[in-house]
Amino acid sequence: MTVILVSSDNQDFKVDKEVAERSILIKNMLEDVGESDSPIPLPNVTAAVLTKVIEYCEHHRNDPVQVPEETDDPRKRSNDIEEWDMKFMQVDQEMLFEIILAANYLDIKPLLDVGCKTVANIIKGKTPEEIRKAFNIVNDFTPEEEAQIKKENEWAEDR
Amino acid sequence: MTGILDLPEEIRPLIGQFLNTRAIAACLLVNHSFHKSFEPALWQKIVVGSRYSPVVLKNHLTLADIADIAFLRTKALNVHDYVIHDNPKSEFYKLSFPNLRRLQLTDNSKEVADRESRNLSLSGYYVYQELHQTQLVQLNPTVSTLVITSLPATPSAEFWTAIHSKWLNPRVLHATGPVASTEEASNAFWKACTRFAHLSLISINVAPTPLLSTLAFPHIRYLKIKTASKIATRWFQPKDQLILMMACQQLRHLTLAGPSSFQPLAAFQRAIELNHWPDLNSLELDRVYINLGENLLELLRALPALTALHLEYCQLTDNGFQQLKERQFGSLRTLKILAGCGFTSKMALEVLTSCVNLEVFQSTHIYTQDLDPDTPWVCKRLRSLTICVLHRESTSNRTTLEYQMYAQLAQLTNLVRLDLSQRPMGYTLYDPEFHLMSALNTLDIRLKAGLGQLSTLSKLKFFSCANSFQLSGEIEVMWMLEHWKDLKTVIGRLGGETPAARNAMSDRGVRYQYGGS
Repeated sequence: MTVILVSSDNQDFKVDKEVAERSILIKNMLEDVGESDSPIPLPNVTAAVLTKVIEYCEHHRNDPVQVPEETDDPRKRSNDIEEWDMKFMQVDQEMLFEIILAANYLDIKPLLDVGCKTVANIIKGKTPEEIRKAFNIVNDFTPEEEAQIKKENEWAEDR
Repeated sequence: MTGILDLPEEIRPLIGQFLNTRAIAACLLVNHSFHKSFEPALWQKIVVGSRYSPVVLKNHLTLADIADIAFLRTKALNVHDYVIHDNPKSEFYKLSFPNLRRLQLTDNSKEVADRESRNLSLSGYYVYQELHQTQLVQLNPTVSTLVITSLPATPSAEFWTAIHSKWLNPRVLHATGPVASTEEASNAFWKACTRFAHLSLISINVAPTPLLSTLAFPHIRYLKIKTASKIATRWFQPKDQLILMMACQQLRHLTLAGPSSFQPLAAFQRAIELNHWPDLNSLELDRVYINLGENLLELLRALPALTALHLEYCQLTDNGFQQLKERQFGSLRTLKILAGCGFTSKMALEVLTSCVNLEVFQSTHIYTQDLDPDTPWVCKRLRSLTICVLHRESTSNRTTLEYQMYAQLAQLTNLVRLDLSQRPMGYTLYDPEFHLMSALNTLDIRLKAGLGQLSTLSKLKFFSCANSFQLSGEIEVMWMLEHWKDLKTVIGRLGGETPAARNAMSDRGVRYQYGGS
C-alpha cells in the first residue's frame, strides 16, 4: 500500500506505507484517517529535505522499532554511527539542521539521534573558538563573563 | 539560512547527551545561547565519594568537599542522577533535587558476607547514616530508579515508609544486601516494593514478617531473585521467595538464581501448570535444577511459549531438550543455555537449524564434526551469537569442516555480535561433552581456514576469539577492518601487536584486547 506525502513546496512523493510509518507522526495520522487515499501535507518540510528523509526511511525500513526506554545514564548511549548513516549525513550544514528539524517534526527518533550524533561529532574536540567558526557563531560574552564561566567549570576541563 | 542556533530548545539537550564533559565545557563558552542550552547537561549526574575514598570517574562531577555543596545547590534543577559512595559528610544527604530520576547508595567498603561476623549493635557512626539515608529519600520524591548496595546502615522503617507514601513515580528497585533488620522495617520494605514495576533482589537480608503473605504486587512486571549462597537463604528464605513470586501476578519476566536448596520447587511448578502468571514470556533459571533433570522436564512440559529463556546449571536431559523443541522453538527470540546444563553440540546445532525467530543465542560449544552441510542454519535474524567452535580430538578432516563452518556462519548476515571465545570456566563436570583437551582445538581464525567467507557479516560491531589457541596475524586484522566497516571491538590473539595493525585499528577507533570480554 502506498501513501502520498506532499512537501511544503507542493511536490508529491509516493511512498510505501511501511516506509512512511517510520514517522510516528505520519503513522498516527494514517491511523486516524483510516483507509483514505488522500495525500498527507507536510507544511514544515521542503522537497529537498523530504527526499533525504524518505531515503533514510527506505534504507532502514526493516529496522526493529525502538521502544522508548528510560535510560538510566544517557551518556552511556553509543556515539557510533553506522557507515551508511555516516555517508548519508555528509551534507552541508544547512541540510543537516533541516534534516534534524524534519526528523523532530515527523517524530523519527533514529534519524533525530543520528543527526544529533553528527552535530555532536562536529563539536567534539574543539575549543570554543573552533566551535564558533564551525557554526558561524558570534561571541557575545564580555571578557568578565568568560572569566566567570571558566572559573565555575574548571573541574569539567579535565574529564 | 538554518544554523545551529535555529534548533529549538528541546533539541539541544539531545545533542548534549552525546557529548563528553570536556566538550560540554567548551560549549558553555561559545555564546549565551549555547551556555543556556548546554549547561544542564553538565550537571545531570553527580557522584559523591567519601573523604577517605574519593571516587574519580570520567564524565561526572565528583565531589568530596563540602565547599562544593553550595555550588551544587544552585544547579540542583539539572541533576537527574545522584550517586553516593561509602559514607561522605552529612551535608550530601541533605540535598533536594526537584528533577532527580535515579538515586544510588553504594558502600563498596563492606562485604555482605562480613556481616555475620560483625558486631551487629550499631555504633554511633551507623545510626547517623541511617538517619541521613532516610532524610535523602524523603527530600527526593521524584526518583524512579533506586539502587542500594550493601549499605552498612540497614535502611530503617522510616526509609521505606517515605518511599511507599511520598515517592511519586517509583519504577525500578535494585537492592543488594541488607534491606530491613526488624519486622517493622520489613513491613515498610515490602509495602514500598508494591509500588515498583521492576524488582531486583540480590542476596538481600530481610527480616521475616507475616505481612508479606497478605500483600499483592500488581505492578511488578520484572522480578529477579538471586541468592548467592546457602547462608543467604537464611536471610531471605525460599518459602518467602515463593510467596513474593506468587503475589506478582502480572509478571512478564522472572529470574530465579540461587543455590540448589530452593525447596518450593513443586509449588513453583504447580503454579506454572495452573498458568498463575499468564503474561510470563521470559524466564531465567540459574542453579535451581542441578541434578534435577526430571523436575526440569516437568517444568518444561508446563511452560507457556516463551520469547526468552536462560538456563544455567539446570540439568537439561535429552527429554528436556525435546520439550524445548516442541514447545519453544517457534517462539524463542533469546536463548541462552550455559554451563552446567549438559547441553550438547548436536543440541546447539538443532537450535541453529530450526529456530527461525532467534535473535540472540548463547551456548557453550559446537563440534565441527557434528555439522551437517546439507542442513543449513535458518536463524537469519540472529544478531548475537556466542558459542565456542571446536574440533574433537579425533577429528581429522579439519580443513573441510572449518570451511563448511564458515559457510554456515556467513549466512548470518544480521549479526552485530559474534563471540567465538572460549570460557575456561564456562563448562563443568555437569557438561560431560566438554572435554578439557578440546580446548586446544578451537576454530582456526585465519583467512587460510575460510574466514574470508565472513565478508557477508557487514553489520558486525563486536568480534571475539579470546582464548583461542591459534594465532592469527596482521592480514586477518587488516581484512577485518576492510570488510567489517562498523567494527568497534576485537578481542583475541590475532597477532594484532604489529605496529601497522595497531595503528590501523586506532585510526578506526577500534578497541583491541588480547583477552577477556
